[in-house]
Amino acid sequence: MLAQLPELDTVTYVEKMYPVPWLAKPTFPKWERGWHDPYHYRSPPKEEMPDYKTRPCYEFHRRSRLQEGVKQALWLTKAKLIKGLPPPILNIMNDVAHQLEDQDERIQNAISHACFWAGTEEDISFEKYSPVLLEDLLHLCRSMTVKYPLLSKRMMAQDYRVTATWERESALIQIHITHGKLLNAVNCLQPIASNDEILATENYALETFYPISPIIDLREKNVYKIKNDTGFNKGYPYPYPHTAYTVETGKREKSEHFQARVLMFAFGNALAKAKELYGDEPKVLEKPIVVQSIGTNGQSFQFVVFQLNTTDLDPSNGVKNLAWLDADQLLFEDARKHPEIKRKEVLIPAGIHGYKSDTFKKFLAFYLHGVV
Amino acid sequence: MAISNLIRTFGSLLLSSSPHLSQIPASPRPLYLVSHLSAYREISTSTAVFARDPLWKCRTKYTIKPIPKTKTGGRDHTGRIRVHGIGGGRKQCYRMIDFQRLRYPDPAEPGPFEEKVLLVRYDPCRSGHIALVAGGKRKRWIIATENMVAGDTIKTSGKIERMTVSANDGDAYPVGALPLGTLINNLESHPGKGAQYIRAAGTCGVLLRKVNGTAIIQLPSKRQMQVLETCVATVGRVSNVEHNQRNLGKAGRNRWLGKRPDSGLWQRKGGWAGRKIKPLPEIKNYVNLPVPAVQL
Amino acid sequence: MAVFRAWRRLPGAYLGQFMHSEASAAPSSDAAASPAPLYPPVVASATAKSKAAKLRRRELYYQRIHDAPTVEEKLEIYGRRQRLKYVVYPQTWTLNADRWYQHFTKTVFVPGLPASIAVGKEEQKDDLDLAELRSIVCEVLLQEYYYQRKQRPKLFRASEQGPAPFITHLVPKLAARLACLNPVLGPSSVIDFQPDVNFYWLRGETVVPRGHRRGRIDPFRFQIDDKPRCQIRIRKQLSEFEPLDYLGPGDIPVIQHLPDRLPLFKRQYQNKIFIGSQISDPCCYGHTQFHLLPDKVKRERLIGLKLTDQIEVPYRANAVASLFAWTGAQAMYQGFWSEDDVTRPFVSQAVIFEGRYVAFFCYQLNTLALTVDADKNNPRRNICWGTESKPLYEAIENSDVKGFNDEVLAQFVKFLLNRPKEL
Repeated sequence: MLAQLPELDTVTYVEKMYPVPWLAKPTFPKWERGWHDPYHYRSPPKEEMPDYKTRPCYEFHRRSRLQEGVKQALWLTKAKLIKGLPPPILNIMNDVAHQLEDQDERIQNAISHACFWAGTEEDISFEKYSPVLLEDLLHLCRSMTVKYPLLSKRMMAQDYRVTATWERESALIQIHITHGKLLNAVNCLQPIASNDEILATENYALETFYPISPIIDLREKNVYKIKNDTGFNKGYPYPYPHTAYTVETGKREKSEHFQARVLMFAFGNALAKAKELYGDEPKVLEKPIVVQSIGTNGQSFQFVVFQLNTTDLDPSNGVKNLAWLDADQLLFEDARKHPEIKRKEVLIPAGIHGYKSDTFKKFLAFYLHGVV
Repeated sequence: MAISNLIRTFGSLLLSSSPHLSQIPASPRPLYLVSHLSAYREISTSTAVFARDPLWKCRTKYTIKPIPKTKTGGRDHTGRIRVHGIGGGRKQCYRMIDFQRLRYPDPAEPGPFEEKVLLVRYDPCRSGHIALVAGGKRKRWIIATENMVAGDTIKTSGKIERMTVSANDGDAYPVGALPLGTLINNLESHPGKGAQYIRAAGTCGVLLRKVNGTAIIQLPSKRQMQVLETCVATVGRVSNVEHNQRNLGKAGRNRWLGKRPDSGLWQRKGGWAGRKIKPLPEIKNYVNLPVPAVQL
Repeated sequence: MAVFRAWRRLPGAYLGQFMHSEASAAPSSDAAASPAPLYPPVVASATAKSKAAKLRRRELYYQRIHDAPTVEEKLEIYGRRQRLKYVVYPQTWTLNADRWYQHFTKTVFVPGLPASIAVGKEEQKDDLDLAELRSIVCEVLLQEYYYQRKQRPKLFRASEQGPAPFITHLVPKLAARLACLNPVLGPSSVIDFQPDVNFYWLRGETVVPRGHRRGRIDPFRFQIDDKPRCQIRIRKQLSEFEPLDYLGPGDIPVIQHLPDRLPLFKRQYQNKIFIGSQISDPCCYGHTQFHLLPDKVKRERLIGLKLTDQIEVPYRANAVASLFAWTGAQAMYQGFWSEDDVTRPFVSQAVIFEGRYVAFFCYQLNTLALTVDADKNNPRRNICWGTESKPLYEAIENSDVKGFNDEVLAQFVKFLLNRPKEL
């Protein structure tokens, strides 16, 4: 109403075509380039984008840090936590036949290579030595192909992209995984928990943490596509995701948050595969899907086995999924090139200390699971 | 342009207004430098913010990430010193504090809500400590009160009951719902405006009396102010209570705080200096009650 | 120039014994039953400002390196002095770079592979094996190019999406598969991904053109800083292709110009010698390196620039430079250097990829003595064998690899199956 009053129409210098101090600056029409230049492109406001939806979607990506850690991840994936590893993997681990010769010596060589020998600088940072250590351990695991030729029926993929969307108590949640390593297999892993155990989970109540909402720390988006994508086209000869390997990069973070992320990645792969096999309708799966996930920061390993029993994740009651979590398994306690000396006394000598062989046995058991 | 500003200001006065989430700043910024041109392109939160950006104050969207801020050195926009004695000191990052305590996490459901304190930490930009609280889907920084520790649950409500509430330290209620004599801090002058009073370390105001729809609070300077009873205030004293008892120890500590030395020139002080003992000024009224016109 | 002020007063002075004598004078005329010399050997001063003193200082330096107890100390003394040096890039777009690099590294290039490693047309490998390996390679190809959904590649980084992950996945998979036939590829080996390989050496001499040292003679210093995509390191040295003194057909190209004309640029920084891991690593010998040529030298671009004769040059230049650096660094890790030449040849292999095309190279390091002094009576030469680049496949269409080249696969497998003779 006020703008229509003629006294308030500002007089601009547009007819003069040059600025003067006593006249206002006119608003010129926006200049259009006429062609699409990708280096000078301003995206339109989000309301005008074609994928804009009023209902927000909450996205979990590889840098997300869930405030409540594993509890929040369990709520989001509607899973029950079981501490420790499932019996089939423990059986593989304890079987002496499933070990390399001189296993301890080779692992210690691998640790020395990653922590001491891989570069010329004094202290190799964890960002450099964790991927090197992971590759070395995988090389050692792959050398078991001599004993078990079926291990060659696996394929590693790097920088895979997986998207899965699901509803959780009327909140739309999407997980988008990028930049990871995924081991795919020809045959899918057999379900670990029996039907009775699955039905028993119906009585389990998920933990909530009032007053914090369980979808805190997820990125809220209004521009998104509802899609479920395993990252591979149809006809891929290795259709089933076997293990997802995650390396901690960037800033160090608490292991609680890292464990949650490792769990979510296992779930994301499982859900995307389930939706591809059985369709988008939420239902209880007759054949549960099992996906493993390992996360490491070079020193401590987080092992997760996730069994997806149901894609009906909207209500909080009903059959739940199962997650076995073995957290903070240290491969070694300390590895240093130079001894720590204070006041001419050697406090911690150089070398690898506190080496635990169990951690690599678990790593190898995860690798061999499905073949042995 | 001026009209849109006016409408924005009126809109922010309403109690139920949701925080303005528009990406476009209120007024077009003048572009002084080429670096401003890049800042004008609305850098998203995921890219690295140009630290020490001269336009660091122009962010509209709320975030809990600390924003690097530039020092002015006491200079104004012309480049000359406006305020002496400012300069140098430790680099500080600004944490966006939410002073409007009664900001509903979900605008569709106004009602009392609870939040959990995640951590209490030092803030370089103010004397009191700040607390990161999480409630619903959002996290925000607020001024911490004296006994707040990580793990507490604090309550915020906008309703005024018939009975006064027995408030705990850290909760926020409208002034009309609190019993007389409670110590309060972070007080608003107008409902929904955001706390502007009693924010310094260790300060607290006292709720003196309530008079038909308004309340009278005594500020730490012993001045009294009268506000509508729907104005929200938090209960308790502001954290970091021993702030005024600290001993700086050396001149360097003042320099770390960004205070440059006074000019050493001794001048005989005039009538402006020295302690003045004056009567308390009048009670400040923020209510704007219509005064009944004197009928002649 | 030392001035012996008191030379008149020295006992043997009138005999002229102390004038410009440098080498330790062997006791003259005493052949049999020589008693221990009465006087210490007569050598030049180490601190005088004379040519003799400079030579003496150089000898003392060489002696220090010879006497160093550990290899780390040897390398440290060898590379302690930093001076401006030419930085040689193995992956280069310069014209005829392979001839220049052969000149810098004293390498003779022999087209074709040595008989022990080449795949002849008559050779019949087990067809089943080859079929299985072919299916593995095709699966990796299809995964990277067809099945896996990837982002749009960044500008000038198209090779990061296709060929690079292909190499990173193919090498460990084939190595694991062939470990039963070649135990060297098993758990005792190490596969590095994008390791640093560095080497520093001196070769040739020039006159310093400008500066306070103008007119003096300085050796050429070179440094290679390489980053292969993938490399396999083993515990024992691969067996030699030809004996140590084999000269090989062909000549080493001699380039009369300064290296600046290539162009090569000078920089001064740490003289690093590194094979991918430090000396304490038990896997100190190299087996195979895998390289990926950058987009700048890809075939289509060179054809478009009408440089069809330069298509094979980047392959050869990359092979010569990278393998020389790797084998040289391996030799230095064993304690050999330019004054203490290698007593056994060091052998490594390389496979260089570029889009669809693959080329195979073998290198035998026979000599590290490339400085002017050491090279005076050194007939040995380093030898590099190599093939032309051949396509691995013709095209990939819709989950089908068309025109797969079995010869290339056979050669690849033979490379991986190469192992030291003792095993």
